[in-house]
Amino acid sequence: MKPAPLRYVRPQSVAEACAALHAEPEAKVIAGGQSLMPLLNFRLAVPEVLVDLAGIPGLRGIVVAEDSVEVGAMTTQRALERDADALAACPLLALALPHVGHTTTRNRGTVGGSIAHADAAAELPCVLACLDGSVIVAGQGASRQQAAAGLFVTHLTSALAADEVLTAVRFPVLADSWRFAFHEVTQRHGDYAMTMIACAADVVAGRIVEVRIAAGAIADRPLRLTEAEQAVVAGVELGEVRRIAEASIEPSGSPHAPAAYRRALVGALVVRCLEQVLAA
Amino acid sequence: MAITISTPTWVGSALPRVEDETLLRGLGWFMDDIDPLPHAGHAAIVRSPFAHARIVSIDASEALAVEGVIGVVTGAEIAAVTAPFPSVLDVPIDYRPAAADVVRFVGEPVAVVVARDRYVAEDAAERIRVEYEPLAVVADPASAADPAAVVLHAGTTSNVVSDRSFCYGDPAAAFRDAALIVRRSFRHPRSSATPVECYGVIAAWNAATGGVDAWANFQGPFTLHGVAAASLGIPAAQLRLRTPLQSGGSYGIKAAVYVYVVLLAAVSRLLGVPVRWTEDRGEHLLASSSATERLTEVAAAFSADGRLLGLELDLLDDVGAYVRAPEPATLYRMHGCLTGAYDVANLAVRSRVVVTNRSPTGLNRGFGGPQLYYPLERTMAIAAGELGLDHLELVRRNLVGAAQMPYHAAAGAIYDSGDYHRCVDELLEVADHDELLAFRAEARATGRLVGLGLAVVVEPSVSNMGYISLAQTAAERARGLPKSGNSEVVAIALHPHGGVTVRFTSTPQGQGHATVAAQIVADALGLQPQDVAVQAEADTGGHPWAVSSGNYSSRFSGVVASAIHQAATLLAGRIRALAAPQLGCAADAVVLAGAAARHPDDPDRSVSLRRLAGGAHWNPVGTGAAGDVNGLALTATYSIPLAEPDGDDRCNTSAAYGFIADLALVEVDRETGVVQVLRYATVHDAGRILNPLIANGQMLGGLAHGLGAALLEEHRHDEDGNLLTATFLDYTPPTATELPPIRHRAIETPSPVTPLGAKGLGEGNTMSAPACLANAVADALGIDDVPLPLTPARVWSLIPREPA
Repeated sequence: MKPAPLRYVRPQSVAEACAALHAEPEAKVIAGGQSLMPLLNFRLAVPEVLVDLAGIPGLRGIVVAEDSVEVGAMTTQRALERDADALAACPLLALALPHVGHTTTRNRGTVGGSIAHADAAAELPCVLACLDGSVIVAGQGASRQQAAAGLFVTHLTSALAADEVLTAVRFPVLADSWRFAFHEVTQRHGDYAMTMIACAADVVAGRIVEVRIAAGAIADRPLRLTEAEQAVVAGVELGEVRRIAEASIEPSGSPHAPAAYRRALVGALVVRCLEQVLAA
Repeated sequence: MAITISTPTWVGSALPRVEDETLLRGLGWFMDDIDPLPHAGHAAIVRSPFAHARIVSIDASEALAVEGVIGVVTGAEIAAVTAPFPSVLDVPIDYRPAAADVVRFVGEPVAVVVARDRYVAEDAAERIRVEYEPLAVVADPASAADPAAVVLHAGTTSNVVSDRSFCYGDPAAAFRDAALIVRRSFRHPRSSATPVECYGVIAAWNAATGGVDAWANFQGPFTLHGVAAASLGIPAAQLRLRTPLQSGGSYGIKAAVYVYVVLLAAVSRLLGVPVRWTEDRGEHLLASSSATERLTEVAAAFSADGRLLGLELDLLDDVGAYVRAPEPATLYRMHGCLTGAYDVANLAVRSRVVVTNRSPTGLNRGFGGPQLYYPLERTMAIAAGELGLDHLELVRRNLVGAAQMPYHAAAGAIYDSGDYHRCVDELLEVADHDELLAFRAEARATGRLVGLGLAVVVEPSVSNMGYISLAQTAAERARGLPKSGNSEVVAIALHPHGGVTVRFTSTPQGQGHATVAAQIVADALGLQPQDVAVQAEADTGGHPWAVSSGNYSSRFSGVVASAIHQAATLLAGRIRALAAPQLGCAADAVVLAGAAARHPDDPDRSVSLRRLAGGAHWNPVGTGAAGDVNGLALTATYSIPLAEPDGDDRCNTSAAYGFIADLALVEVDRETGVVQVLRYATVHDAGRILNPLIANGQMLGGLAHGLGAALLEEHRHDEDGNLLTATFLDYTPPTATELPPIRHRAIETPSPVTPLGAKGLGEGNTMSAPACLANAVADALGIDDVPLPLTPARVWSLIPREPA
């Protein structure tokens, strides 16, 4: 269980990193390494070059602005989890981050790494999809903003080009009337979820006037359950919302979590989230 | 007037573990830390991707061209320098450390690359081309046992390679007279211990002597040392096997590292260099060892008033592709106590061993216990329902009584001591049973799925080495050497400057043997525990050891502690004899306390152990020590007297038997199937507790393993024999966050068969927890069939639902 031979480069700037990626088609970016290192050790990922972002100044840090919490790509998940201002501005992060791996992996795992890794069963991509967030991407030209919709393409594949580097993640800050819920079912705490639901709802006078529901671990990328969202806003009762949510997906199965089970979890967790935001 | 010299009693006190500071400071020497042969090559093992296939060809030319590669050895070359591992079963199964022409499980070694480091070795291993011709696969015990199944081993006619039937009492009459017969089938899945440290081996073949020097994190039993030497074709004395000072856990699984000792020694022989290998996690999960999968058919006969009249057990153990020693021991470890905690004289048993295209099985915490108690305790709970009795009441009507001790169980176990009824009473108190009943009633009224589970188990410790010969008929046994041993050998010495070294071969893997050994010796000699240096690691070329040595069957507190106690007592006797003339009293009267020998009546008359030892070492004639041929260093062997299996197949399979009663309250989430253990209570009677701190840790650890097997862990294979749980993403042992609130109490009924009154206790909750939690989930869901493990998806599928 040792990585195949590879070259390791440690650029000093984002531009250098992009140049290294551009020059080496078989290169792979490494950030905190908490997902990538096992893949390297199992030789499931066999890049020729590893481009480590750890030496680049300016990629760490959290800026809480009026409309977003902007998190530098190399900020550890743990640093974000311990930033009270960021969590107050974006309460869904406070609910989701404790489910990301374990404290020890969050100490090294980065926010940008988790998003760029695009694991369909990871919490942060699901949160970003739920909040309609975005990422900042640097490449050969000017840096660009990429919306969460369209960012997650399929299993472990994002819309980033091979020579692009994700430099920051923007989690939108929503108005005070928004309520949040996050639920997942795992075999053990910290495991990859069998299903997760992230929910943000604008609750006015006990009624949900706008809602965003994202589901993780049921498809090749985080899914927005738009039919269920529309039903909720239309005032459809929860039992029916559950049926709509369950009918709107085609989950894949695994030995731990057959498809029928995942479908039922989606319904159950959607209801759980909606009950929670309505009770808040 | 006699005075009292206060002597602390270390045994029984919660002395913090003397091992821990070394571990916490990172000063331990684990297998991968030691480097006795700095020029050793690093091995990587090429393993079969097929569960059953013929090896057509192996092309290592590309691998040999990789810079840094020392050599490549194939299974066929290994076969040329090894003999098949011996087995208790007289069947033609040719088991070697690597496959020569046919692979029979995914992960079976087919070749070994040796290189200057592990990276190069793995790079080269990827370049070895093995051509396979796939064969039909039997991937589970039921299909393997089918007479129509493909037979795995040439020369055998069936995959059922052992089939023994036993009858004790008159089960036929019991079933004839029964008011109720409960028949059920159970499947105990494969689960595994997953120690932090995987296997590690260093081996060097000496071409001059034909001997092998090996280091491995082996845990015994040392019967397997002989098995390894036999496969290497060398005299056992020529296989010097050492273990590092520390081991990163085993729970039984490292017994099977001996196969890799043979593999690496053979590779060393063929390549002419010492070789080392550290197993990685992928290899460990895929191919090291696991518990057996067992299929059990139970029939239990009851009288109308709930007396258990007779039991029939049909046991089928899947041992994997080969019968790797000590298998089929899983089937027989519990044989004497197959009737569990119940007073029932009539028992019929059929015990079968089946080979499948899966990795070989072996020791695993609980070894045979979980496989027995899950069916037995589920059957009792089901029977209670059918009899219209409370489960607790049915258990009470059938428990062996304290007045029946020592109790002779149907199949030959002699339960040495215990008060099972009192344990159950105390369990109800510890668990707040009334509160739990009220909680369940209230929760159910609101539609919640809440259940209570009970399990009672007898926990054997200190295995009788002869039990495995129950796999043979009485006639077959009569042709061989009778076996019944369980001994440990202890060397103890008083240093010339005071202080004591005690040595034995219990190969601890974190249990705290050194702490308890120091407590025992300190008590016997009037010392402080820190005055006692303990060496419990193995060195078959130097350390005292017996064929039964090692760390298994919870034998430490039963027999190893007894042996330490005996050796320390003998040394105390010699010290007293040496001191008596100087103190002017009878040797028997000399008091050992405060690191000195003291006159019993005069505190001013004493001589320090340091002075006594110094005199004996420096001036034997002057001190009278010259007349003692044994001096102040001695080696002593202790064995608990046990008999070999008798002509009627009765066998006292273990020396001592503890008892455990568990109660669990669970809630099942109706929507997600998640089982939450709201309370877990357990009461032990493991005889005298030598160190309550360590005992508590053992109980918690055993419970964690049992809870994992109950709720989370199973090695699953697809129909082609591929392991589906080959990483920790899919094989999911519990972590601290999965452990429930636990209430624990120990009551102490001293064992009459050990001088300190202690019994083993490290495996009991591994045996009881799956049964207890299965009973609780069955109660919560109101159903009978609760397969293990009770994962969320499975439990969700079991929840009774109104038809849509």
